[in-house]
Amino acid sequence: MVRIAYRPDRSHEFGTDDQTGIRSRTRLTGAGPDSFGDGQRRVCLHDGVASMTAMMLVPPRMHITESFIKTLFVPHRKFLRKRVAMFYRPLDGREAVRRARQLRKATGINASSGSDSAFANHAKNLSGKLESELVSGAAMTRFAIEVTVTFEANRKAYREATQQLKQLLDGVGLEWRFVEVGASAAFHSTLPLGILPWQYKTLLQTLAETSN
Amino acid sequence: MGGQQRFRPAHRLLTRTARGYAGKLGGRWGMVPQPPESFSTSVQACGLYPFGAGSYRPVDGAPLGEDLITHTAIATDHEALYRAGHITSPSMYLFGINGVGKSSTAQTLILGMVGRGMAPAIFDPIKGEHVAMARALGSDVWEVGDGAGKDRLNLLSPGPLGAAANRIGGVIGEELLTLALKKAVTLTQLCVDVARGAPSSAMENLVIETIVQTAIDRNPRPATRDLVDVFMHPSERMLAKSGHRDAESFWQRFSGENGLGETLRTLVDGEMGVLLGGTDSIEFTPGNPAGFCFDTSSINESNTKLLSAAMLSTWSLGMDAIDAHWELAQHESRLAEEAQQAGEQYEPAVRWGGYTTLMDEFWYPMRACPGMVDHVDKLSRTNRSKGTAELKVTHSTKDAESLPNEEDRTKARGLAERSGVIGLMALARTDLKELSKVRPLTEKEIDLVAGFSADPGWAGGRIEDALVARSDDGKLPPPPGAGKILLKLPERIGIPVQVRQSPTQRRYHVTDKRYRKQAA
Repeated sequence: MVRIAYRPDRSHEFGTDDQTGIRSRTRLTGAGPDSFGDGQRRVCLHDGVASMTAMMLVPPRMHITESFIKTLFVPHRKFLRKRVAMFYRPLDGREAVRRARQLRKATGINASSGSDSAFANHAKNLSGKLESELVSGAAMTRFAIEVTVTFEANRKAYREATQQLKQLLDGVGLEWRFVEVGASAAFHSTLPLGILPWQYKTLLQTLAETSN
Repeated sequence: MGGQQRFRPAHRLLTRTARGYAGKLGGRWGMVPQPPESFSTSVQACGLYPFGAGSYRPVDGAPLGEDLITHTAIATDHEALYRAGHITSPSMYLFGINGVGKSSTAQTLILGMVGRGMAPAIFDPIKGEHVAMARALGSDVWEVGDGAGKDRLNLLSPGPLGAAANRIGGVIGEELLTLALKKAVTLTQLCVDVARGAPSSAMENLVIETIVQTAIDRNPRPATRDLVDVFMHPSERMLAKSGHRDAESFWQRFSGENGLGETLRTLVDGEMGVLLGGTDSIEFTPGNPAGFCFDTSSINESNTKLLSAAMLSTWSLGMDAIDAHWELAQHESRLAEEAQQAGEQYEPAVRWGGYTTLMDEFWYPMRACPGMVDHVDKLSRTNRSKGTAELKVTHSTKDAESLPNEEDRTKARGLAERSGVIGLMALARTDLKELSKVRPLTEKEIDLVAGFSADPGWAGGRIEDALVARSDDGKLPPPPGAGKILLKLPERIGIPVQVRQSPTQRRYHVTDKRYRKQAA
């Protein structure tokens, strides 16, 4: 999978080898690209093709069912490769309750500080619902989604890929943005190599997240 | 010192860190983008559960297409499933209403197996739609019929078994010749039954056997018309076996209205004579790795006697060709072993990769040819030992139910029961309920298959729209449900597949030539 991620044009060859029982002796550490360029902002160039990554900012405001995932995960003809990485971090029970209380407190403060609007009440109701679900036995998780698409390294393919990716992400109803800096790091974090973004969080990023 | 540093390998100048190699051209990331994390309960984000067991899809058979639900690539066929131990017999029964791509799907399956080294054995009864593909593969194509330029059949030909016997020689060759003679006798008996429209008596069958034997003894290249000559000049053996002292009493016993002599003449000179009475006949050279294809589409559908004779004969020839191929491959393999023991090298001229049979429009031979079900029934019980994967294509279970006699009906039902895989293309709900008795289907599966042919709208209904929507090869847009198939293995959830045709396959498979001409 890692080799095909860098060289999708060789997927047929790798597939045929697999079918005919030819086992690759390439180790994971040797499966890297011959070249990798990260100087084009959102687009990174590797082995003659290009990739870009988008990340989810806000999940869809609805029940996230399997049909939501299906739309996102099905193969797409317009891309040489599309990879959806879902970071799924379940919280233990105590942490879940702490988070729920924190949320209720925050919405309560908003409501009592004069912003007693329908929106504030709605948020308060949601926090109540969250607690009630936890009491009923639900688990809490934090999650993040990144989508990497690979396309041919030319302007036409870039325009098409951008358009298609926008349509795809808008279609599933989530808020998102392109990764404009560190595209190569984003590319690798969507590969199953164990690169977990939060392990590389800088102090500045932690502060930015806390302020959000 | 400085010079030494200039020639030091690049990686020695780099320092390994958690974010990559630090140093010039090391590629270390300045930062890793942080996707914002959202919090949710398992109630709200019930669809996000990454630990689900992925549904496995077979990927070591014919490249069929993609899963209709998960869009996973699917590559499978009955032979691959049998090899993998998922089914007990390498066979598939494909059901579907008209025009949903049964034949195309069958071709995709066959081509996949051919790609793995199996030889195709195609029986194309009424449309002749597989001929182009078979020719492209290099198969021996026999267009059997009564028209000019069509291939004719010779009931007395030793056929592929005889050809193999000549090449092999020795004891095995003798055994094969004996088998070829038996096959010629059986085929002649069957054709006599078909021509007469009633089964022959035991004595008549015995006489036919001796007539065939005598014809082969008298003529090094016997033809069907020798049957009549031998009947008119009976041998001592014929007289002895039938208990007659002279030819006169023999003729008296077996001539007369609807007698054996009259029936044999109809085989040579009657309406069947144009198919069976020629001196030229199909001469098989067994061992072609590209297999063979019998096309009987030129025979008029109303001429059931001719069709029955053609189908019985081609079926018999085909099965003999498979057996002959096996024997030749075994013989060549022995030669190679002997050469190796003698320190020499011998490349076998014939190899065995197995056969994959396709009986398209199977409802037709079943209905038109009494006894055909019996032949196929025998094969369906022995296909494993014959090394043959078999694929039968028909419309619905009603085809079996509408057979004229009970024996054939029962056997035809058994064919579906014994099939390793049942392929369900668009079908009526009643048919699916009926099939569910043979291979249990869940309500969801029935709903899914019954909905295959549901048209989402009326767009494209006008001929102008259809013309605009035509693809480059002139093909009209596919009807709803085209290529959708549910593969049902015993006691497993069905695999719904959207079959994809390759452009090459599309070029060689044209089933609506007249319609395209009309639309052009």
